[in-house]
Amino acid sequence: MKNRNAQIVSLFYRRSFMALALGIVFFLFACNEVLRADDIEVSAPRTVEVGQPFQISFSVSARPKKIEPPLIDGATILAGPSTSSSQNVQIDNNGQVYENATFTLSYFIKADKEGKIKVGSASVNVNGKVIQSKPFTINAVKGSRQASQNQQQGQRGTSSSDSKVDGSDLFVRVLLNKNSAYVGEQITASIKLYTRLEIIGDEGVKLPTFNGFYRQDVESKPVSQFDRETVNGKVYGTAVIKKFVLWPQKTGDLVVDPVELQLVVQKVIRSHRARSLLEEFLGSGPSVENIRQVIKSTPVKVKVKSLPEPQPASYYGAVGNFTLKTSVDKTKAKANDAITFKVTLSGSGSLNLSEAPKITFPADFEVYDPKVNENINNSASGSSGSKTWEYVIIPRNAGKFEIPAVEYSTFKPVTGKYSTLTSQAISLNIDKGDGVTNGVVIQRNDIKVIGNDIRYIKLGRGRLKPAEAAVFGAWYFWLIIALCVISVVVVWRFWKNKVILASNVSLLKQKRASRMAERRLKEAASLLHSSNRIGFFEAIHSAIWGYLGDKLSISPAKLSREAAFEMLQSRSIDHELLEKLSLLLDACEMERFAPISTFSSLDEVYVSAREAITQIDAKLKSKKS
Amino acid sequence: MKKKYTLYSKWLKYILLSISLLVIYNNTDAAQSNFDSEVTYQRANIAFRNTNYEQAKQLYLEVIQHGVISYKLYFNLGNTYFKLKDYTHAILYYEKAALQDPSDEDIRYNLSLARNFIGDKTEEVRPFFLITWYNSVSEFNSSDQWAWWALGCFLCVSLFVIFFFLAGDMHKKKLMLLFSFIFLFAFLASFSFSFYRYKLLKDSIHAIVNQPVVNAKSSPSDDGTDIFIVHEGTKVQMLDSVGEWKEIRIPDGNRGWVLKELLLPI
Repeated sequence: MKNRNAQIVSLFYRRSFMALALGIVFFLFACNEVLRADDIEVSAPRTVEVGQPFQISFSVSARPKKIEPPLIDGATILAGPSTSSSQNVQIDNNGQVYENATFTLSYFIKADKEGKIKVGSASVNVNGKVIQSKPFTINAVKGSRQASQNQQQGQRGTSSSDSKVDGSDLFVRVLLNKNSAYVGEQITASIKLYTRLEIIGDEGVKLPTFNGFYRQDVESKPVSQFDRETVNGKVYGTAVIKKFVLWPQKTGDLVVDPVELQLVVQKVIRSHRARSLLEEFLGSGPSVENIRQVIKSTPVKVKVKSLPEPQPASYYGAVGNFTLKTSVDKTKAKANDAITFKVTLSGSGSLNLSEAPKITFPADFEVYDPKVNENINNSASGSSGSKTWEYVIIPRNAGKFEIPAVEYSTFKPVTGKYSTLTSQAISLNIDKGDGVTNGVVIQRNDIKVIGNDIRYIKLGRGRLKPAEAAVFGAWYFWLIIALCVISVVVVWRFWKNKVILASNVSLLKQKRASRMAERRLKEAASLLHSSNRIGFFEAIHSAIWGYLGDKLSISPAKLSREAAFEMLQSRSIDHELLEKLSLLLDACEMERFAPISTFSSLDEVYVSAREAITQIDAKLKSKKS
Repeated sequence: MKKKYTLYSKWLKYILLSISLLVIYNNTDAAQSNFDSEVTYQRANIAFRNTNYEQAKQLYLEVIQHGVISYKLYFNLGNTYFKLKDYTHAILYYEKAALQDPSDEDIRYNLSLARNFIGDKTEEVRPFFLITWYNSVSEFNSSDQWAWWALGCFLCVSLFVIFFFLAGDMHKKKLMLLFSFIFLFAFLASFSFSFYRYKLLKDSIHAIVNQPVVNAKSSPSDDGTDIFIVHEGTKVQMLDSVGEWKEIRIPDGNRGWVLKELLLPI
């Protein structure tokens, strides 16, 4: 008992745990509720047999808030509308939550009579957005097997059993319109399904990568009708599932890899397998099996030839049949006006691989990169249309210009040769622009703020002068320079004279020397009478030195006994006289400190000084003359 | 001595007399035409002020035909061409005005404005920096102004040399010598600037391209290969000439030959 209780408790906990986990999941789900509300998917047969029940369903991959069922006219609703919804929440390793909600509204309907069953539009409201399905009609035809109306209810549900579908009953082929092509030559490819079985589901086509090809899909309607075709004596239902245009991009043997198709087919089981009780109960008749089948096409080889050499210089990758046209929007324009120049390549072939031609515009034009307009139609017969390169060119200067003819070489696979398309040359007449377009001053290089204007003219007197007149090199220019030079020369000469005169000053001093000496000796004589012994000697001293300085033009600073005696000697004054002078000078200098009596009396000093000066004077004079 | 002086004064009299005669002769000749030209010039200015540009242009050109010019005249004529939207001639006359008076700021301003409308904006090869300096210093004054500067400086040199001779003591003499050297340097500089600008004026080494697009050829013949394209209004230097052809150098240093008639010498 206790054990059982424990079990219950543990069960309870487990349940509450699960509820918790579920709650978390829902929480996450709510947080991440990004419902993709696509179109309403309608699944219904196009043709039904009278009296045979069939199902139509409307499904939307979202959780609608409000559903409005469709109106169904001309049939009996056996069951429904019944709703079913499924939710699928997945959390991957990264914690990313993926949710998948499907809501389905389904009816079981039986056609009462031959004719058309009109099914109106169903509308759902998903997140405030109303989605409507398209109304459609179902053809009801006279049934052939009204008796066995229950057979379809046999075994439903897709089985992924091992039961094989015979390869001859169901296969897919990749069909190319040619197995040998030039590089860039277009090949149309179609994927064609051959079946002898009823196909009830298409779970997708897996296309190969088409290595070495450039591929463009051809838009096609979804398959609705199967054609009949006999292959190897068997009649197949065939349908082209997809079409492409392929352009080989390299030479050599290229292989189109297999196409994979995943289908669900219905196969009537003729096996003698034991029937289940239910089957027994529901009745006899052949039972059917739904088989998910993957079918692959066989690889197809394409031999790709290289384009013949040499390629023309004007070949830009266009393979096919083309025409070339050039045009301008105007042939007369003003400088700085924009002109549109169009090059149009039209025809069928590798338009999307064709590149812009090289155009040599007049050197002075400003050319912008072209705008490319493609108008290409990919159809079963290949790719065709036109490609336009639109150049904006701005002539910067006036004049007559010519846009030369554009050359565009194309390769024609039919002939295996290049052909060069040449457009007409276009001549342009450019007038002088006024520089201003649309209120903006367009200038050669810079855009300047408008509102700049030149500085105003100079007013006042013109100060006009002859065009050749120039101060430099004019006669008065040289004259003034010459006058300056002359005046300097004049002053220089004057200065030179003055210097000569200045040298005469010492001459004057020489002339005055004996007179000066005389005056000083007189002074000494007066001192002698006033018996001023020291004053007397000083007067004698200065008389002798003053005389020597003036006479010999020796500056007082340089005056010394040696210098003076040397000079006197050089002027051939005899030794005796110099001795006498020396004695005199000694006497004068010694007197101040220790009077010596070389001379008997002051009178004698006076007399001998006088004698010496007169004798030197006489000697120098006689020498000079 | 006194006799000598009287001889000098006699000579001086003759010189002064001849100079004054020369001046008077020159002036009387020029005065009348100058007066006429001035009147025409003022009429042109009035026409410009009345925005009668076509008439102003005619009158300014008439003044030039009289053989008299001034930087004002060239500048005003440039303005007239600018107003008439003939930017090539506007540039030409602004350039001429700039040669006459390189220091005028208005001329430079209008020239750069006119160049925005026309001409190439080429990257100029910068010459050796000393040349650039020299050139830009020379632009402070016109040739005439530099010439007057040179004369003034030379006068100062002379004065200081004279002072040097007259100065008494050594110290003053040194100072005077220093001054005279300074002015000698100034004289040499302004003399060379004056000469340089004089050369620019007289030799007209630059020209303006006078056709929207000109292909410069590698040789002075029609079948020479096209080297580069110059546009109307570009200032080029003229180097050599062979027959109808001129060799030009554009500011970025490229050289080529163009027909003489496509150039307007500045």
